[in-house]
Amino acid sequence: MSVPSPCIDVCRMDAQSGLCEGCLRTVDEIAGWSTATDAQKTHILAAIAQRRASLLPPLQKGGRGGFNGGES
Amino acid sequence: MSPFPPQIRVIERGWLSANNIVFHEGAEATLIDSGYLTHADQTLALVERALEGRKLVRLINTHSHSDHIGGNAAVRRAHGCRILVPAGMAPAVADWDEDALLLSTAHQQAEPFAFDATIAPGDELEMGGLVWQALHVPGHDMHALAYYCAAERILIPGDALWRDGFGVMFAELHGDKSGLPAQRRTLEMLRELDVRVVIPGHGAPFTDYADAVGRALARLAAFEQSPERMAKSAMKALFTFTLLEKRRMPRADIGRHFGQVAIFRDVSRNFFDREPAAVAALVIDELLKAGVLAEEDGDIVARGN
Repeated sequence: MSVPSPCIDVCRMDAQSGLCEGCLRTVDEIAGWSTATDAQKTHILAAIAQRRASLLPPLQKGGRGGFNGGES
Repeated sequence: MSPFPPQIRVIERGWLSANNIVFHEGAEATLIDSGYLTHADQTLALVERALEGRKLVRLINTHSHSDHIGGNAAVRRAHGCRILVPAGMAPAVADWDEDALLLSTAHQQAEPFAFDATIAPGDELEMGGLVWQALHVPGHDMHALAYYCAAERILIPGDALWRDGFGVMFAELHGDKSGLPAQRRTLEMLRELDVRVVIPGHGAPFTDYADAVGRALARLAAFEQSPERMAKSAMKALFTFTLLEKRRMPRADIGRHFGQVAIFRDVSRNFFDREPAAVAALVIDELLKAGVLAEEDGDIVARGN
């Protein structure tokens, strides 16, 4: 219970990527968060960081409005 | 290892949407609280996942605020389930009284919904094959109910108790002096319960129950000593909620926003004896300093934007 949730209250699934536009988690990762172990949560956070690096730039270049302005 | 019996699924959300709790009951299921209106699509997806093929037959609310009832209508449309609400909030829902539901007064949204039955303090109900007692927990919401399972020692307190604090004292903010005494009675009642794990309205489930009640009582004592401190804390929480929904607002517009939205305007004048715009500036500065909000190109923006 010590790994904080990455939720930033955007809470909207992007149909194309299957990820939440705010925290970049899948439905399974969000629904399962409260019963995930700390190790699993840390793994999800690392995956999010990778998705942020690899997913966001092309989506932004493509002019998609879904990511709420993307990273600041 | 999960601290819950396997038939209880906790969906931890954020602050704009309250946590959702799904109880498996054979081929059927019950849901507690439905999140905020603008998150309804994700709520439906998460609940669908947690149902694991079961039919959702009941939606039960802890209290009437927008972050707990905002998705009620959408959940009913999707599942055709019955909706049960705390008896005390029933009139406001039946009349869809946007003032009583704190929607218009706090500039929040929810979709009107119909309910099928009410739950009164002291009622017992079965969820997930377990018996739960409805406990009246006034303070944050004067009609709120908590659900307590003595057999499993699980408490679902809504926003009456979090791991670190409790929800905004709305009655007090609206000039009803019974809010803080009610919250004290609520916490003193909760303190006597034998609790192994808490599934709060917001934040992760937690097990350090006595410590959490102690922290809540200390916070309450500070509010009892200083109504202004309570009001400032509430303004910060409510404005953060607003920003989580809007994501960004031009800094220059926020003073006017405080003047237009009843709860900001009234609390500014009644608790601070200052103009809403001056209180807005104070609130923004403290939230920026705490790192809860950020400033970007003249806009105040929510964390993570």
